[in-house]
Amino acid sequence: MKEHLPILILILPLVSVPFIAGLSFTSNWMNRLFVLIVFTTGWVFGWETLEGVLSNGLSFYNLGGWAAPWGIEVVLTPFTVFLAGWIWLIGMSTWFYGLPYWILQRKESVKEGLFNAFLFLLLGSVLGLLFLRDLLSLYFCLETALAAAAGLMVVGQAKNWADGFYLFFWGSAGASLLLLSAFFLYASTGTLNLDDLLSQIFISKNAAVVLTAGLLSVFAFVVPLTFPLPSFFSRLVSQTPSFVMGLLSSILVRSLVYLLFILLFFTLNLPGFHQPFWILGFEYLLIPLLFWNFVLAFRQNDFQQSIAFIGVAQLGFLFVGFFLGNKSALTGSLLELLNQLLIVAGLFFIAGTLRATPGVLPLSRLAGLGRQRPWTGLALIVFAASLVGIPPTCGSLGKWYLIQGALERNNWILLVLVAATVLLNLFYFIKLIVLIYEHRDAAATESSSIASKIPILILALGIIILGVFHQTVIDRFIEPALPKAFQNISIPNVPFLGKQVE
Amino acid sequence: MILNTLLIIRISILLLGLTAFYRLFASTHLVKKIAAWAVFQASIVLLWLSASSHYHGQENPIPRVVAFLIGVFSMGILGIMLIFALGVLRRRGSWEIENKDAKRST
Repeated sequence: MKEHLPILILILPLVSVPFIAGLSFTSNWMNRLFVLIVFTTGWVFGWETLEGVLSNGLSFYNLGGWAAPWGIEVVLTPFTVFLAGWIWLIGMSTWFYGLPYWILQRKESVKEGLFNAFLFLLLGSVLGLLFLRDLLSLYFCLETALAAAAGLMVVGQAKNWADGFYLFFWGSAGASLLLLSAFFLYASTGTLNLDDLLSQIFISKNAAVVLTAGLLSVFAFVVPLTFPLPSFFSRLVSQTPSFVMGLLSSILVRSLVYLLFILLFFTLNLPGFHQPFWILGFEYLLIPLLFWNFVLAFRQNDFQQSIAFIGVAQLGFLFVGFFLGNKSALTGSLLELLNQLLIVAGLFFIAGTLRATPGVLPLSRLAGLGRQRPWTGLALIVFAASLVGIPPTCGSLGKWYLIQGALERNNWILLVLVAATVLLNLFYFIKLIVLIYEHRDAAATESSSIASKIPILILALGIIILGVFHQTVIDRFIEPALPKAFQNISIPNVPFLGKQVE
Repeated sequence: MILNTLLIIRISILLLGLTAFYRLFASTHLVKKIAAWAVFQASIVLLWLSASSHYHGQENPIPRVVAFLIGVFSMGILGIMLIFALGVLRRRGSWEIENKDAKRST
């Protein structure tokens, strides 16, 4: 049984999809019970798998007994299993958080069932993006994840057909570029397996192939990574239930960033090649462009629009680490990735408790929140503190490592950018605290149910736990996920960063 | 002569794909956009088949199998896109919505 865990953990959510969809036509409670069983089974499988990868380092599974590179390979690393655990937690929190929403809509039992089915389809395909080591399978998972995300948007709110279409259509157009990149690499190397591609590219040292495939891969993710920027998805934020927004901008976007990291660093070994000046310029431009969304976020009068901008702006921290590429910076990026998963979901969940139905949410609705609902207010402070980088939150450690990475590389431009962004966020944090604690006579906020409070508190607690136990997280999960050259072994057996490592 | 024929085929596919890629952005009609994506996707698969179907003079079956898989999968994507487009049509009463949306977002 244990040897099949890597594939069981992957197919569990996918296999449950038709059952959940079918049960939605029978009874709501049967459906909810089944969902709970699947989530619980996932935790059991996940715990067993985590024990295995922590003792063995890596866990491999070849689909159909076909060994890689011929067959499709599932590879579980301590970090991907750990990341999958947080993704599973956010999925479960979303389901639990959304229960009152569906109970209020009593006549929508089919919609609730379909929502749960799409939720598991999304979870399964996102896990596939983390675990599969084959470009073609990754393309299938990406398309499935986009379809599930668009489905969730439409089922969550029927007005969202247009935004659902845009996300799926442009996401698919981007995925086609990933396919083009895969075919281009296959035509050049004869393989689609990620690890085999790394070896072939290292042997051939064909910089043109690598740069072309790298650029195509980056453009493939442009649309999903801008989700849910109000500039592109104009009505999405106000029309979609907050828990759907939180789920998508948390797990879909962040897992795609991790996939991009794997493709660029562990497959194409892009930093190991000489990059033309215009690509370097593009990379330098990308980070201020992402950080500019913080400025836009703080200029919004609507809290949800503000969170949507923050969700995209935070990606800048991840790309700073990838761009710097040293051990400290990559550690910081992966810590930030875990941190952002929780922050984005948590902030959207809080926004959801402030409005009963989808619509605008002026910032003034936050006034007095800390006094009227102390636990929600406290959770909001934890999320905001982690966003700024105030200890002992996980965000503080992530940013600390990023700054350390910039100092080690003497990259003053990125150092100034990160420091300026942190200061800007600190200003917003102070403004937020004043707002939620000082305005006593402000409009009363609506009371929220236990079902919505528990997930928010769990996510806030997660940020504190990750921050307090960051050294354990780094030692046991993040360090094994770094390139071999950065691990505590004498001879690096995987080429990485070329001359910079030497 | 064979080389020239293959070259002409590849250039034709490339032009078809680039035109479809342009139409992805230029079309404001949802069905035309979807058709453009289908042509773009087909051109990628055809280009790859033309580049990988033979390896050192021997036939390579893998690209054909993969092309078949992608073809079937793409039909499914096409179907989902059309479902979304029909949803938009039912809500808005028009296939032409992009320009309106662009104006609203600004």
